[in-house]
Amino acid sequence: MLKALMRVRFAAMRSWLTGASRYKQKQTKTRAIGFAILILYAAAAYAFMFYGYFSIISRPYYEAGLGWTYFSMFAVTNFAMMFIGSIFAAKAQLYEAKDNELLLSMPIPPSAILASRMLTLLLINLAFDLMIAVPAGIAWAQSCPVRAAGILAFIVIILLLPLFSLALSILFAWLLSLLTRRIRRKTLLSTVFSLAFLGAYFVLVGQMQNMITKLAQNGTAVAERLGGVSILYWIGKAIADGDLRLLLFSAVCLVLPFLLAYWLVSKTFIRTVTAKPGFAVIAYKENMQKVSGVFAALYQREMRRFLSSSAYIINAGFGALVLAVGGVALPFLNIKEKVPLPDGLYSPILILAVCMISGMTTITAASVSIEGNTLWIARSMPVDTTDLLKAKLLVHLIVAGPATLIAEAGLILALRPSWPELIWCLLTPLTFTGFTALAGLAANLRHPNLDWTNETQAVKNGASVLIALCVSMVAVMAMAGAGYGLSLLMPMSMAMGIVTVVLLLVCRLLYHWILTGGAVTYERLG
Amino acid sequence: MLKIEHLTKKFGNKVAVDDLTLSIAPGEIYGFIGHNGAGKTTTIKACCGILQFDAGEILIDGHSIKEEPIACKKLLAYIPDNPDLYDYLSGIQYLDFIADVYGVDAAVRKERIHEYAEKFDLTGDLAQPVSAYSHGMKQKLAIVAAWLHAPKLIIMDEPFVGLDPIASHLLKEMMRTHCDAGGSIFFSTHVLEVAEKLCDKVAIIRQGKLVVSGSMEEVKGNTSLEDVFLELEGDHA
Repeated sequence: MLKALMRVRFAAMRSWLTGASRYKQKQTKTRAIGFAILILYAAAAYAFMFYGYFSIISRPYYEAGLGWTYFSMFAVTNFAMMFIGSIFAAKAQLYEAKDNELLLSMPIPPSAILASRMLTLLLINLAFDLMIAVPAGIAWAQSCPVRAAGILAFIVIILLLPLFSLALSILFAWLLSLLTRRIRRKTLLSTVFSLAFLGAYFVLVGQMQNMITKLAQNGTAVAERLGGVSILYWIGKAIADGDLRLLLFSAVCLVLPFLLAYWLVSKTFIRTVTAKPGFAVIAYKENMQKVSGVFAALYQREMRRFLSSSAYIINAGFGALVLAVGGVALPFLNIKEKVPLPDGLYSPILILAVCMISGMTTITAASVSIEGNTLWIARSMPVDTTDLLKAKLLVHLIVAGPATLIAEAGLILALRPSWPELIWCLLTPLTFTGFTALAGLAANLRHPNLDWTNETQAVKNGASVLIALCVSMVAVMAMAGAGYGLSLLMPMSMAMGIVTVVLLLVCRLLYHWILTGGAVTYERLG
Repeated sequence: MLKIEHLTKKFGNKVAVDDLTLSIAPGEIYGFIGHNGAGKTTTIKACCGILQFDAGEILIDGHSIKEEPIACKKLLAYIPDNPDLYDYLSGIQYLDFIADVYGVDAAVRKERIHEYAEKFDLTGDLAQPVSAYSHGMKQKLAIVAAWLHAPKLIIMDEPFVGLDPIASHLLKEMMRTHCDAGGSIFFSTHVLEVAEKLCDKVAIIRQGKLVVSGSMEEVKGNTSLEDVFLELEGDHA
């Protein structure tokens, strides 16, 4: 039974990863290979980044007798990555899947339905896990001696860490479902709760890293005394020293929460899934009617769609949120004192950093897919397709634009740039925000997924979102490369100017394609 | 009002609609009948400009759906077989959105929403989110939205599915009233008794090809529509 359920899950996963759907009857092999290459490229980029980090610290930690600290750091980084990767998918996968009622009507135990969904999440976790574990393992093996028992412990921990991360993710999902079940302002509560949780998570992970660093700085004796009873210490020690007794303790600590969480959600699954949301009855009054123009109506439709889903807000609006918070914090960080750089480099580097974060806003990259089964409404309306697409772009700009401006204000206050620099501090990130909106929409028009069973597949895991993120990253790298190259021939502010003008031209081309080829593509979706 | 000329639509190698021609005059209720997968929904979606087709022409009040899609869509309303509406809007927000898009002014929309929502006993639920609606309520809301902008042509795919007997009766009355006032209705159904009683004309489609069409009397003669349908299906089996 589980095998049959898993087949369905894999089919769905394949569909949303490759963008194949009822609207694209057959996905060409070349395209599927293209997606595989893209995913492998993204994974390799992260793996290389982590390799760089671990290869710097492996030898010094080993020589200081702090091998356990190295592996504790690996465990924290790994957990942080997996948890952030599955936390918001868990609620959608477990409790909001469209086929929950269908499956529950069949003679399938809820535990099997849950197991099939968890296995999917577990595989995603494992993929994140390997992106860190493989470079961490290689970096260690290259500079430090390796024992057979240590390798065994490392493999066991790699396999068990995803269970622990998943346990916390599903508990969060369960708690959120319970909290929002009978509440009218479900989206608001889910968003606030999720953001609070994310904030706490980042603080906790940051403190763990700090704690480990402090322990390492104060020597083994202190480390062992303070960390002797902690799970992080057990994991680190089990791998570094090949201590199988500590491996057993670690394994119990990692598996037990998962078993408890699985038991809890299995017991409450039917009740949670089938509970009718409680809607407080609102009396209808005729003055509730509001008249708008056609474009305003289209824009409101898009904005309401965005604001109706905490998953959409958090996943697609994350970049904007970070920009706004970062922008407020930037003037107080004394960046020039903390990071010594040649004076002319601060603005270009921070401008590119703002662009990089802006690229994490993926509202348009999911805006076509999110229409799902309701696409027929837009397709049957007597409106110009270009207006529909412009409304999608506008929502992205309305959300990301002010956040970019806040980040720019923070950047200007922190750096006090010269006049020429000031122009690019203002223009480049704003242009890049426009580029992100356009590139996201273009990616989603080319790779829509309208057959999702839960909206996380559209707003977080869809091929178009992945493509938009990669395109933004590559664009920032290209801007950095071009800016650096040009700065060898001319002043940096002029180089940034040329880069921005080229970016504007790219935006113009993308906009033109969206209103012509993109509109035709959208019209063929029906 | 609606002219379909030599319509052909293929999905890969499969011909879903094959050289279909039919015409619906103002004032007519036209039933479209066929087994599952016969090509009814494909034809209907092509008429609404939702689905592009490979050959042929569709004219709505003289406008080509290929050349002037917006002008055509202004004249028609479409109700799909499964009314997936915007769950994130309330009933009234959805109706307002439709009225905005079709340019229905404030006074007219107020009057029509009041009239149709009252008819379907939906007024009390208009402030509720669509996500709280049952299937039947969504169907009723889709019907109110379709009638809201007074289209000349209403195209419906299995409109009676999910409606309670009172709402079904109301819809039949509204269809008749709409056509008596000069409008046209083109709808698909599997309920042959309803088609027989309600339709002025009927077309039967099988494997994408039009098998028979004409006035109800011409098609069924002295037998029932069900007998004709079964006989035609049997002939081709």
